[in-house]
Amino acid sequence: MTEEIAGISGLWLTRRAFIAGAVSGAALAAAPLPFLGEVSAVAAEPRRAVVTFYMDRLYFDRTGRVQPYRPPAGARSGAPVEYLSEEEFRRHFVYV
Amino acid sequence: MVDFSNQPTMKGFFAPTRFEADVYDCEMVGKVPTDINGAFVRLGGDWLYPPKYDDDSPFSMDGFISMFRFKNGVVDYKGRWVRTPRFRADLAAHKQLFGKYRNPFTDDPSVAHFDRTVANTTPLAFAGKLFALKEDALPYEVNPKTLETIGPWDFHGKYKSLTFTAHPKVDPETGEMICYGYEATGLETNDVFLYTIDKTGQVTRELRFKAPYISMVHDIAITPKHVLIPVFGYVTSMERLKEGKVHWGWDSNAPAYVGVVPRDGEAKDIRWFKAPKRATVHTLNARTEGSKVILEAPIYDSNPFPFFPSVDGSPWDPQKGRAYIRRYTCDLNSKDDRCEDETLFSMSVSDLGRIDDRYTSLPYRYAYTSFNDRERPFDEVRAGSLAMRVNNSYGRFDLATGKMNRYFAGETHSLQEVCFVPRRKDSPEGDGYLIGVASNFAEMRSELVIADAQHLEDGDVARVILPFRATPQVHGRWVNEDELPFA
Repeated sequence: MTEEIAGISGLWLTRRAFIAGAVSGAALAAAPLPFLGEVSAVAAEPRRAVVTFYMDRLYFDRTGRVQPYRPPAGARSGAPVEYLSEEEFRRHFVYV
Repeated sequence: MVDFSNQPTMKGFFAPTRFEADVYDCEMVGKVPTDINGAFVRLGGDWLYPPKYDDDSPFSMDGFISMFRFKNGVVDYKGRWVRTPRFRADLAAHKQLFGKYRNPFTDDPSVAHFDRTVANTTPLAFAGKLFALKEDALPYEVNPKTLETIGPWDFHGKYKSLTFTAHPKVDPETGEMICYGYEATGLETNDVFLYTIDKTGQVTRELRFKAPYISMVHDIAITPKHVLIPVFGYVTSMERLKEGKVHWGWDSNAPAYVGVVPRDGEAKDIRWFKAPKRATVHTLNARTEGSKVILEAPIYDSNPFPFFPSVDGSPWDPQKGRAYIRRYTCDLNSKDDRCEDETLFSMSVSDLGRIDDRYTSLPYRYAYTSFNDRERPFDEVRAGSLAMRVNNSYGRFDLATGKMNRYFAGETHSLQEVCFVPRRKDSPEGDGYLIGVASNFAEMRSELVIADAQHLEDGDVARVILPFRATPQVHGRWVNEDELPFA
């Protein structure tokens, strides 16, 4: 399967690669300050560019005003049952 | 009032779906092959209402039939509840009236003597009809155009067993269906009725016999000459049911057998070969070579289902609840009535194994099933810590060479049962596609994956995206365009 790919300022990022990077560090992605150009220059406080998702596609926000993408805490995953013992899991779910 | 809030396991991806659906012209990634036309029909279950007892089996979930309809490279999806009398009674009462798995003593008195089936195990297309099967009742006929439930079917009154297996076998050379019912004359009877039904749907043969003891006979295998009937470990009794327990308990001391029945024989001709005390829930295929009758199957070391607990109270052992592809050989010339036993692949696999169905009963080379490839990544942040519990890969197991080719579904995915679709009716064995539904835990949706069975390492050739979680599947079948009057 070809991964979903989005172009960002001449770079190509895969969503999976992006997520992998995102979960390993505190910040999801940040461009170096020179990359921000005039936007950061007019900001009262230095802001860092944010890469996030919009409508399930990668979205690059140069203003630094959007909230970075955070992996959902359980609701959108199998997390609600991950605490189950192997026996309890298999009691409820035979063929996942 | 419907309230699942006190069902701690029915959350997130595992929350009940409870809706019927039509999706026209499904979203897809890649290009769906135009050389396969027909439908991938799936049967499984979901809870319309929460179970009456917390320790009930998931096999009590209400039947739900769905279909990916392939036509000239376009795919439509349709899903409907199987509207059994049980489903309709619950819906009218706005609650779960039925108790534990195959135990009517735990039901609400208002539904005494109801047909308790939920028709949730295997779809069957035969003699121009579509059925939803579960081994505790007759087949339920379903309209292949609309997936609306028509009702139970007894083959023109000639099928006398009260139950019908979820795993009949169709002989590809004669078109006959070999099918059976166990507990055939009622609850807690060890009667087995074995039938041959011709390709027009007429019963042509019935054989009645007794099983060695009352046990689950979930699947069989056939050769041109024999029917092979695994019996193993699960036991039941009327006392057990009256105590309010689920139908089956696991008895590690109960003998396991492979019954070998000549297809043209009588009850006196049956030989019960003793097998290792394991669990043969599903089979792959069988063949007769001279005096030897050979069964190949993914066989569990012991009890695979913790909701059918040990009768001696011992804890369920997850290590022994694993299946391996094995071969049992029964020599009709031997006198000790024991099966020879071989393990063909050392890796554990899902026991929902399949073959190219055109080779049922015949010599064959490839088996397909899913497994957990621990070498591949699993994104626990996005999908939950389910890495050890998912089947992230399909494998093509070459029984001639011992080699295995693998397809990987993705790092937030788990694969349901695989199905082989031949590229053409006259394609050689293995030339076709593997299809199956993947659960994408991160995106909270289901995806139908389609991979070239001869190039699994290349990934899928197409993926059909559903914008929701499809109802969980037990078994699925590919049905060719000319087998049913589809819409």
